[in-house]
Amino acid sequence: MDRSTLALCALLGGLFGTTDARAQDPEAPPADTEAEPLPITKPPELIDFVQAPYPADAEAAEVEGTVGLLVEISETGVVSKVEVLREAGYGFDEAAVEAVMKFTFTPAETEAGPVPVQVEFDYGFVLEEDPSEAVPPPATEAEADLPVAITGTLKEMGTRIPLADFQVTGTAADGTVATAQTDSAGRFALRGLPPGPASLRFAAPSYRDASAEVDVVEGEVADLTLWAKNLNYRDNEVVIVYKRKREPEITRRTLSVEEIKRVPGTFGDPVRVIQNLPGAARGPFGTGMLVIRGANPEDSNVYVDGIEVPLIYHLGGYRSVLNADMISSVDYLPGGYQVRYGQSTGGVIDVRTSDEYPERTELTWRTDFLDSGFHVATRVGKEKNIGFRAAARRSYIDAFIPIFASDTGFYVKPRWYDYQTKFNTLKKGRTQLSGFIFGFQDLLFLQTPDDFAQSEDQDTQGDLSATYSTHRAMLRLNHTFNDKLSLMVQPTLGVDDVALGLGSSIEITNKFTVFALRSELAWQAHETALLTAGVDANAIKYVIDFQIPFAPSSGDLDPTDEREDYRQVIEGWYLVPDPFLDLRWRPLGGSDKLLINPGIRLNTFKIGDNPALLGPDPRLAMRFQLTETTALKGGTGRYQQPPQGAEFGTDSDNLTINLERSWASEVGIEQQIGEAGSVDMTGFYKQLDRLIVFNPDYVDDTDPFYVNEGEGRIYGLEFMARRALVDKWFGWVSYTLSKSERNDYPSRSVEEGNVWYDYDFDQTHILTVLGGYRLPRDFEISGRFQYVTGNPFTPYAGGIFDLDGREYVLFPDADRNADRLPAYQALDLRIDKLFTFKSWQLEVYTDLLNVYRGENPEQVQYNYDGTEYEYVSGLPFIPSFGFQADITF
Amino acid sequence: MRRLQMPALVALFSIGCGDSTLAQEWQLDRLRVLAVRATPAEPQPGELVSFDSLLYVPPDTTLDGVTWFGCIPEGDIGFGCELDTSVLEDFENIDPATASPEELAELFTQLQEAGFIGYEPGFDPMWQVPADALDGFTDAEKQEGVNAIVNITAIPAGAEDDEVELALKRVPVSLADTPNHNPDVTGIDISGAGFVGGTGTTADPYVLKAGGEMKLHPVIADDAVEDYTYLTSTGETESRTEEPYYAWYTDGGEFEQNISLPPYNYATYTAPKESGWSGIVVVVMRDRRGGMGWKQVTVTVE
Repeated sequence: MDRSTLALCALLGGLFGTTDARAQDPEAPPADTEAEPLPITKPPELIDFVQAPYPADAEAAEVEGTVGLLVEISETGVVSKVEVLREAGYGFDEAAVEAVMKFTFTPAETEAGPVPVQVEFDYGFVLEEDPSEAVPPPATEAEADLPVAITGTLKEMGTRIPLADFQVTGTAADGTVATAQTDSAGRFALRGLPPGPASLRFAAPSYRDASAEVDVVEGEVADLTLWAKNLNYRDNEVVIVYKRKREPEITRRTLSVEEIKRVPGTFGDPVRVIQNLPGAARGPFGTGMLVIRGANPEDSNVYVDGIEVPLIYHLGGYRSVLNADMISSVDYLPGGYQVRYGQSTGGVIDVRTSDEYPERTELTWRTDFLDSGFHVATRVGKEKNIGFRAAARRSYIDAFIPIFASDTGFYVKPRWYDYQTKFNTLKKGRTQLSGFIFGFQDLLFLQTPDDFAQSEDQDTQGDLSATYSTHRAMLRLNHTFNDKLSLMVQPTLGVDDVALGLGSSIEITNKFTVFALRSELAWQAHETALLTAGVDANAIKYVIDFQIPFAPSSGDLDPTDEREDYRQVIEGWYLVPDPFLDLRWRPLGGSDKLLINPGIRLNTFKIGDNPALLGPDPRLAMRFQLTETTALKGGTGRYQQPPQGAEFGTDSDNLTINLERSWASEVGIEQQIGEAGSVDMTGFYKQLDRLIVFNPDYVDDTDPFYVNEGEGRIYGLEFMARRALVDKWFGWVSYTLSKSERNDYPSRSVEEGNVWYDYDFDQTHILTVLGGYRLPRDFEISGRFQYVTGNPFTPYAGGIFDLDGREYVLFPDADRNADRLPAYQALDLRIDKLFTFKSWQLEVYTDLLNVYRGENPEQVQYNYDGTEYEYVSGLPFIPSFGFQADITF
Repeated sequence: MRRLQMPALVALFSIGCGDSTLAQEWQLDRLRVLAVRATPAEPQPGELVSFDSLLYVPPDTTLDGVTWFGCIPEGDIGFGCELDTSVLEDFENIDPATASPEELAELFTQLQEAGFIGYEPGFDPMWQVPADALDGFTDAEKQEGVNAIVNITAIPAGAEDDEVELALKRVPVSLADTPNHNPDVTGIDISGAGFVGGTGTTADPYVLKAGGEMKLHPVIADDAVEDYTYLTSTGETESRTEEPYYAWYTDGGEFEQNISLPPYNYATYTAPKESGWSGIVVVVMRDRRGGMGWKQVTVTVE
């Protein structure tokens, strides 16, 4: 039997039995005085064990050994000195000393408090056998005398997971039967079978029967791998009932990736599933923008592992910028979120990447009609939180379009790519380090024939290109001082680039260099109270470069004006150093029955030499567990955000506008039904003020172009009934009834615009019904039906023809947003089939979007003079095919 | 602060494409004001400006009249001159045959003060540029000038308020060294397999093949595209050449696009399929400095 070194183990030679802990009170007099050391009331306990590498010389010589050490542990639990008492040679001594120096303990204590101590410690090095070749011991004494005829390993097809504690039966030609139970490595040994042909068989309720034919030869041991196909692979992916530690955020819906990956119409993208949840309205078609509770998409923030990103979807909104396999959960917070998130009056989406790594290296390849990509994940060592994962993806639809469009001379080339890589390192003491690097780029290129007049302006002739890219590199340090105090520090460096070019005359680039720091110090001040002080800081350098053929004008554009090349570079810094304080108070003895969560955040915005805009956000959330299955929740608070983009104008040193502001309140009830069911209802009201609107008193550049005069109100009810994926089916019904209104000039007269109107993103009814069901033979079907009230729009009725500009200045026919598009309704279906082979799995799927071909107008298009309009519909029936291959090494 | 997001134009490639049923800009199917020409194209203070216009009046429509108003607005032009149109009511109540000269003179003075400059038929539009139009301007500003606005309202017989056709035209008033002139479009040439013959006049229309495709080329006078000087914002004098463009119209058949630009200039046209059809094709040339010229030809399908 061969032995090889695959693992090490250290023997803690009865740490507490052989210790000779001697308290060393640093204040105590020297040992040669007559003072006696205080007795140890609490011995030190090992927190972090560090495994020493097996010395190469010893491994080569197949030598084992034990090193006797005297370890000095300081009053803080850190190892301050290690002395070798009994040497073992072969490099064992040095390896053991180096490893033990990295141990951490809880300090020993006397009645006077923590004290340094010395303990004796044996560090052992043992050679282990390769489990893939080990022969399991006989199950009974009777078997011990029987010769081993067949050994083997029982593994699951596709995943290659060794199957432990299963019975394998061998039957010889003469009817002799031998049975064996697989060990933890899936190994089995069949004894006592006579020479000649034998049949091996494996049978278990959740697996398809497996068999093999083997020739038993006297004096030899046959070894083989027996493969068993799991009848229900997807059980491996199931999060049985997604239970999350109860947080006081009123409306936090955390989706488990495996449950929602199969929602039709989402192309397997967990982030797109948000659009099926209460409060999530349909964004403008093709933009991928998220409309949360009737708010402007710009008012909501998206985070990846706490890092704010400007966009979460690629071009067209079909794909999020993260590979689905990188994602462990998606937190969707339509409102009522706490102070670690700020600088927004809308909702928050926080996508969290996985910190767990598979036991075996996994490689996934996914292809569909839009793009292809891979994901690989591997564990380093045995701990599931230590490892590395990486993913990348690139679209290729741009390669196909020119093939079909070349004859016309018109073609559009959308293209994107994204990449992510993440690592979690070994813990060093109480500190863990992780890193995350990700980025993406979107490119849109539009080409028209040379003789096609895109407009009457020569300066706009030519191809259009638009590029957007984001890159971020983040490190996260988690350090636990003790069981009451911990620190997280997360610095991030990033770059955002937006470039727009049209022909040879127009080029606009925006470049942002981002320095971000998120840090949280959490202190368990009392068993009932966790206090967190934090900072969510950003320092951003911006460079905006305009090159256009005319000077920007705040007034009407004059088509007879002479053009003059205009170039302006605007650069500077803006700072967002938001500190916050959050208290999680569980007043009932620290139990989760009642959670009270007050907090305050100071939204800060400073740009250039302007005074900083300050906006304190006090917030309060509460959650009361009425019964084991019923919870009441409520909250209220202030949410503020800075001006957006063009609202600064071109003179960033003359900021005349303030933060936009809202006060939002919610109340709700959650009811758990059985193991998998839940019902959730939330009512909300949000009052907005200081909204930035055009200044009606603007005359020239001495007047501010924007003012904080606008107000808004958003109110409604959200309902969700959900069944989590626990066996064969899952689903939910989501309904939102809401109203989003604005008044741009509430302090002025009606003639000056004091009118409440339906906001551009108001969608009164949003209904989603979806579900999925597992069929036999690894088939799965799922469906989704959506009904959404159409977006409002302002009707026009004719206009006045500007003879020089050759366009009509249209007359509104009624109040702003007085009309609505017809409702959106669509049925999407998805079919999955999983094929399982010995060492890999292949999933093939079909997404059928808009099965009954609803017209679904996405916007209104008026004719040239505003006297007629028609609806512009979204994409018609779309079949989408794709596959995913999963390989486990 | 959120950064600039990818322009919403990315949605263009996402929205399903389909044939539009909306009336196109080149379609002449209702009363339209297609072009207005001021002469001189770029007057000086104190000069008298005359106007002529190109209207399309469908065969089933009777034009009651066209009103003309002019002004020099302050600030943004919006919908043009802010007019007190009640003067028109007074005008309509006066019978020129019986009114006294004093009444007519008083009425005319009121109309002029309200910006009235003409009514067709009967009063050809004429506008006297105020002599003090550029008072208080610097020399550089006088070179650039200021835009006067002319509002035109074409009124079909029996029309309600929302059935009139409204238009506005800028008239640059300046002391430019190289004032603008209206370009002269002398003809439309046709080439392509769909063209049979003719000269485009009413007596000898262009003859086209039913459903035939052809290219239409504007023919312009030698001096139609002018060179001029421009005083830049930095005080430099630049020599420039006009960059005109052409808008196309027809009451039958189809144009591939509404406008054409140099250096190609031509527009692709498909004739109607109905044999014997007769109609017009119009091209309007704009020089981007306020000057306009046009040509209308008669076409027929063999």
